[in-house]
Amino acid sequence: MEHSANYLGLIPLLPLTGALVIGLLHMMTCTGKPLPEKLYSTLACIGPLLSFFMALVVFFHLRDMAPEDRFLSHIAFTWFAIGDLHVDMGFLADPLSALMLIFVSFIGSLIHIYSIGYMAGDENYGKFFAYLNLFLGSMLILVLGNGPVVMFVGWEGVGLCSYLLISFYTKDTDNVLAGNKAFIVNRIGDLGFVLGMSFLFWAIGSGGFDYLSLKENTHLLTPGIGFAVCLLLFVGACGKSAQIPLYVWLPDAMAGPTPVSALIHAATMVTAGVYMVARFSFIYAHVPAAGTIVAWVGILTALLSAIFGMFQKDIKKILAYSTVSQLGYMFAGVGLAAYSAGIFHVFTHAFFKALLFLGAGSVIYALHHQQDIWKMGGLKKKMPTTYATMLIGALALAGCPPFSGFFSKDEILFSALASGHPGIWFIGVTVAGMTAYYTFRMIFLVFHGKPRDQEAYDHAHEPPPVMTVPLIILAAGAAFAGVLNLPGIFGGHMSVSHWLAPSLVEHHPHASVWVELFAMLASIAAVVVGITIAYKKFSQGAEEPVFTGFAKFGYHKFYVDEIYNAVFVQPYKAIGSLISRIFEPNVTDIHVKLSTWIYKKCGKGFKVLQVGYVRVYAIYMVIGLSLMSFFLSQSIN
Amino acid sequence: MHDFLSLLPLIIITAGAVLLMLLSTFEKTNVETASYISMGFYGVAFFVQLVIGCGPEVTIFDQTFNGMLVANNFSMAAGLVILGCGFFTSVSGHSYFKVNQFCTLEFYSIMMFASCGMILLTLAHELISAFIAIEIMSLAIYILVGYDRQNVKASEAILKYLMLGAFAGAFFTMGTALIFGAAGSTKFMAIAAALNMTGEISPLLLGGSFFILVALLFKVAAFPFHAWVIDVYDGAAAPVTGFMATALKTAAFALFANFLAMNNVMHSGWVTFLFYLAILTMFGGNLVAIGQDNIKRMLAASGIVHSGYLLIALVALNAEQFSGSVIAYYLAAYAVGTLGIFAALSYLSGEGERRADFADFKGLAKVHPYSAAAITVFLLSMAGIPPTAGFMGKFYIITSAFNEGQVTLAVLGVVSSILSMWYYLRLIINMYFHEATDTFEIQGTPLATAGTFALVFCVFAIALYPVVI
Repeated sequence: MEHSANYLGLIPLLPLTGALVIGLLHMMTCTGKPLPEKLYSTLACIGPLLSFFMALVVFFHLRDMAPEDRFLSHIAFTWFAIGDLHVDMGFLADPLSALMLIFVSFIGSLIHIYSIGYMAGDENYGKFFAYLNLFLGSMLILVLGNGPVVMFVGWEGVGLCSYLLISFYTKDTDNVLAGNKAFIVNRIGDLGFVLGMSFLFWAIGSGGFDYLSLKENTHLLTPGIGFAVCLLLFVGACGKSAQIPLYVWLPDAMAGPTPVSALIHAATMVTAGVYMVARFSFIYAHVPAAGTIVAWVGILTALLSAIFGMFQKDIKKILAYSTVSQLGYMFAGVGLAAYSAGIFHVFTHAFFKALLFLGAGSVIYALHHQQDIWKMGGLKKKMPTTYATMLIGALALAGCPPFSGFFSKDEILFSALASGHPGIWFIGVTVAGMTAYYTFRMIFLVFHGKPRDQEAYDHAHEPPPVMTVPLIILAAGAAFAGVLNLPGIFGGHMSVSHWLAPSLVEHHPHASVWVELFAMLASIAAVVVGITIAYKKFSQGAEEPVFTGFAKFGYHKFYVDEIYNAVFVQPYKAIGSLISRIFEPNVTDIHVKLSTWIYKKCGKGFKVLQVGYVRVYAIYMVIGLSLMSFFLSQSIN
Repeated sequence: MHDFLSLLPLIIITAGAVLLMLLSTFEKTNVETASYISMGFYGVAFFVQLVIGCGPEVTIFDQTFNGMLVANNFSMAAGLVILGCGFFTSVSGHSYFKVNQFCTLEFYSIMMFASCGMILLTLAHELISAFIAIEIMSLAIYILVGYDRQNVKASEAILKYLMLGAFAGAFFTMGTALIFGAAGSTKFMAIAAALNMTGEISPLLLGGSFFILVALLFKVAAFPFHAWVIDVYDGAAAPVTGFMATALKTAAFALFANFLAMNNVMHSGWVTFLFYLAILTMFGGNLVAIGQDNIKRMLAASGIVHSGYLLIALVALNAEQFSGSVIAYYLAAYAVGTLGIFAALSYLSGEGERRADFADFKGLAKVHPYSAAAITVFLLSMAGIPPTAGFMGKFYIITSAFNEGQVTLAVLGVVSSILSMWYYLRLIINMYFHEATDTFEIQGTPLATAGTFALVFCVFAIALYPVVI
């Protein structure tokens, strides 16, 4: 039983309208005197905040219904209908999308508020907020869409906005290149998504191409096609959520303003891939083999990026690799059919990663765009709020009990062990230790010890409240969000898992309490080891080491970018230039030019006929008449 | 009552024409006032037509007119297009005649008389009344074409038009006579009944209807009766050309469709004939158009091509259940685009239309980006690029051709629309990809500019909400 709820359409529409209004205002005034920043920031924050309140309304509306009836839908209009393909611009809110809605709009709103302070004084202030609103609006479409096609609209929207925002400071070529890279790599993923979608439609789409109809028709899917669909969709997810082999864009995406990084990493964009796999859980449940591949790709990504993260010196890059690594966990979770665990990790991660990025933004803001952690130190005293909140974020990221990250990560690791994948579990635990190490390496280098750059240190100060308040709110979330899904072992009820259950097709592995306890203790041990090593090495003012051997290899990210460049980019460019130099002028151009030449000559010939004498025109008519009469007389006989 | 209401727009326009004629004797009224009055009358008539809306087919005052005039949805839609054309022509005339001072009050009066003839033509279901309507319309248009007596080109145009028009008019009367001889009546219903009796077209009827078709083909400038259209459009003032290209074509096609749709026998008898004519008209028109350097001449030639598309629609019409919606929609879409360009030309071309060639509009986009964008929209609509009205119009025509099994025509229609990109894009390239050498001062009043942007809105409005009546 579905209920219709007209206000669903408004949730993405509000930020999108904001984007339009702000964009038009900015365009009209961009050459003259800019409008006051207050106007832009007010306009920009209204949409996301209203969307958040409406997301809460959706949540309470759903909560009051019986668990198996929790569907709200709204069909705005028929988008197009060709043959069997009937696509509505429709929105669907179920427990999964409601959860996503709440934290996307909540964290999105906080980031909007934080940006008021961070972007103050920028000449393209209006443009920034227009993009930011568009970004959030697209993400909300993605989450709320009632079928793959509507999701794809949002999917492309966030891709576009990430491009626009990563290369926001267009004056620097590197930023533009980073934006290009993000866009191109995402396009490769999108190709997978489109192919997967097409296969899905071809196989079972004729009965309706929205999630509910697809879910009903899943049994018609043959295993082979199902496997292909799963893998192709996962390629799309790899692009958006930065998994091997398409993770390379995310670290470069740090070129954008820091609130954008927070938005990309926490609330929008990268979570889209995980959400998509969870959304299609009914298909992934149909072909478990595909899920295992997803899980392995995820956990290997987690390992690889954790290695990279240990050697970076740019504060944002460290966080970027930590995101890739955490996304790896999420995919391990959803790949092993522990969808609720994966989504819960998305949820907690959104809080602590937004917090860490915004905190890093505060540090960068305070140090006048210094991002090298080897040039920081001792900021604890200067920026106590930032320190405290970031410490909470770091503890959550590292997976320290009782912070939120611990519960969500532990649940994924536990389900890996319980479902019979000890390999994944072991790597996961190792990565947990590495995560703790590099996170606290960052915290110790930035906030503890002695200042390494005395001048920058002297000028450092706590940012304005408009930036610190969101930090505090997020810190509260990062600290306590784990309580929402407290496992039975701590007397909890797994509330989030129960909430999500109607949306997902999930098997809960059964394992004894001892296994659960063992998994928990192992990961706590790993975390403790990681933090201890970091404390020993970095808390007392270490100096920047010169990387050699493996560390150098890791610092240069195993030269993956260089390899991609040599293997894919350069040959592609070579083929392109070959075609443009040889094929194009000698083959295609000749045909095109020949046909235009003929056409032009014909035109010239006809122009001659237009002599301008009435008598000649009359003769044309007479000739025409005679020919037609002849034709007619033939047809009569 | 409905009889009277159906005639009400016609009565309003006639009243307006007479009123303007009377007002012109007063010294006080000037040309500007006259244009406002004519806008008012067209506007009122348009809304009356819109409010009356569609209804069942009505034979207007059957007793009085003896079934000569029939109002239906198609005539209503065609009437709307004609009235809209009149309105926007008055709007662009308002600013055009600020710059080119040859206008007198009677101009608008005569234009409204021409509209009377056109509206009558859409209603005519009888040959004599159709002939009278054609003559009312044509005589008025002749005067409008040669309104600027100082202009040699205009005088040349009126002479050519008049002579060839008389030539074609002779065919119409000849055809009427032959048909009357064969069917014993000039009413479409009676002719249809006669056709139904025999089941095929008798030679006398064939000859008669052939002559009628020739006259109509001349009016819509189908190949090979197209030659006049280029010189005449070139010679006339820009608003007049816009009016001719749109309203006159609408009226002529209304009669054409009504005549062919009178019954199945008539239509099927001419399908093959029209099939070849449609192809010739599209491609002939395209070839004429690419040779032109003057924008008005190009638009005249492209008008021939659009007549070709409309001929496709005539081939594909269903005489049994004729609604004319495809034709009416295409006419409206074409009218909006063409009127828009002529409205833009009327404030951009300057005194004595000194900017007339493609080359004269080089770099317009740098000086007047919004006007250039508007012209681009109109051109793209005429070329049939989504999401414009022109695209939807072509889409409906080609779909209707497919549904009637005329796949060849559908394919050739698409090919022809690709070829037509040549000359539409040529103007766009001139506007956007060259540096401005001209200052493009906008003369006249802002009314034409406003009209242009209103038409841009129409292009999208008609496309997004296709009210296929």
